[in-house]
Amino acid sequence: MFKTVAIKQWPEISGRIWTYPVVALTLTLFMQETNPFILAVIGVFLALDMAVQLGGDDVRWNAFEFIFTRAIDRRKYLTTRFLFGLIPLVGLALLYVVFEFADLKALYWNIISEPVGPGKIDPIPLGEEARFGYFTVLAFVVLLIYTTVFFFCSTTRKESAFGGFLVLGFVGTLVYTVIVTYVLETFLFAEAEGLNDLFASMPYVSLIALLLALPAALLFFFSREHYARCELPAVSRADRGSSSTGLWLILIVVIIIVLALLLTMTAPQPSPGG
Amino acid sequence: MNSEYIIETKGLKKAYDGGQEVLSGLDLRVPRGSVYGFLGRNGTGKTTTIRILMGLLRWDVGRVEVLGESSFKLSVETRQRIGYVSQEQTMFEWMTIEQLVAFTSSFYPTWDADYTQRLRKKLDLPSARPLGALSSGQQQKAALLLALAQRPDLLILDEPAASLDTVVRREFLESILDVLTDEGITVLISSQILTDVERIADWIGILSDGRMLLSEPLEDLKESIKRLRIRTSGRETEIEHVPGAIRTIRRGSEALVTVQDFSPTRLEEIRALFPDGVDVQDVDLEDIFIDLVS
Repeated sequence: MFKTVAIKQWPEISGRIWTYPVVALTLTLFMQETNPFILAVIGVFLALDMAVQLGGDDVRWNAFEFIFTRAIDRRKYLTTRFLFGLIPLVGLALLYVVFEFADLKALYWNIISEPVGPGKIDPIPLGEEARFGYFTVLAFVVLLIYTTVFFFCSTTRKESAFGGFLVLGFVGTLVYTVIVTYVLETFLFAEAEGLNDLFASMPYVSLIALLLALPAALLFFFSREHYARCELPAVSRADRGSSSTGLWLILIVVIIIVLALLLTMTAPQPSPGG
Repeated sequence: MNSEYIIETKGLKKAYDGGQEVLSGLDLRVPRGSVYGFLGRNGTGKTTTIRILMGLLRWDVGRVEVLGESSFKLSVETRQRIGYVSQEQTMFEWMTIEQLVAFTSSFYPTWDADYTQRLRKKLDLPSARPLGALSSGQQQKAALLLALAQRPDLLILDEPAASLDTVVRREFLESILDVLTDEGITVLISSQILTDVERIADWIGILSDGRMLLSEPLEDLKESIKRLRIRTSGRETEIEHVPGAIRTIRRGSEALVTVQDFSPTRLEEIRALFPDGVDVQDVDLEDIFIDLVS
């Protein structure tokens, strides 16, 4: 499916990543609040988001005519769009299940506190909880790279609506990660002073952001056929095969960065932070 | 259905919401290899028919086949053989011509890259400007470029030159004529500019009240419909009895009568009614159309 119609329509679909910070924000609210009214509002918002994803530009400017008069398998096209539209909802559902039925925080602590192995890197001198904040930054970096890669690879980069969505996704990730959680943690649940405490107050959000980055990475992986058609600035425009290689290099670099940070984070601490 | 025809509809009916029936049993047959001029007044259902042929609309009753397949269920392989230019293009306006060609070409294994470049230059289309920054005429030419570059077996054009000026329209027609040199390609063109249609078409179909009024080779049509300049000279009442008359314009002691199913025999009948003189004039497609549908 990804090699046929769906991937050729990636320019339309890639702009949907703005929904990720929106879903993360709503999930954050969901976790802090079980008021049925708020849950209903979240549900309505997600439904609207789904509608936008499934309709998207095709509804806005009737691109269905252009697409459906080309040699495209319509069923695959519509199915793929629908599946892409489901990604935030599925992610939300999975996260809900995890947080509702699993003691995830304890699991999280167990994973983080175990040493990786011999030859450990010197730990960053922060409290144990503060390390959780770095996962937020890590996820943020992953999303940033994801956004940037899409921005340059997608032929939608000059389309004002998609460009706005991409910027919104980037900005939205930043906003919810730092400001919203700071507000929640500072004024509603705990006091946070300084950057360390700020990072320390974002354990769940960190996990949310990281888990949201995972489907992004999967989409990136499965969409490599399309990226073979992209024209990266650093790659010869005449050789589309080189485009794919360039993108794989980016992905490898991202993976290396992620692994290095993970190793850093999982090194044993001299003493637990407060 | 008969493979002699690349497009066939049988008893096609289509009504929009509110019950307004646009097509009332349309039987359309487009011969393979022909350039078929699909004519009709505004609102008679030409665009509806074409959208049904392209699978953009469902129909209510009847059968519709394009290249041997039901038009609403065309396979990808069959779609690769159809080029389409609609009256109002909906394309990715943020794409340049170069990007649009790159994007569209991947759907068509028969895409001719060299021909694309030659045609783009011939149509004087800039490769690096976004489509949204081009004029409507240039956008229409871009749509034609996409349709022709895939080397289709069937080319469907719905009012393709409506927004073009005279010069651009001529270039547009020349591009289509170039394509017609390819053996086997079939063209269905719907246009209000009948002089253009007359220039390129070899079959004519006229749609009226949701049905085909006629469908025949242009040459036969022009042979079968003639305009007679009749000097009535006191026989004005006999004008009503001219056999085969489809339109009569009285001008003093003369009358211009457009006659259908014209033949030497019919001419003799008419001359017998009007011994003072009957002159036969050829009629161009525009006049034929006006006389038939007015």
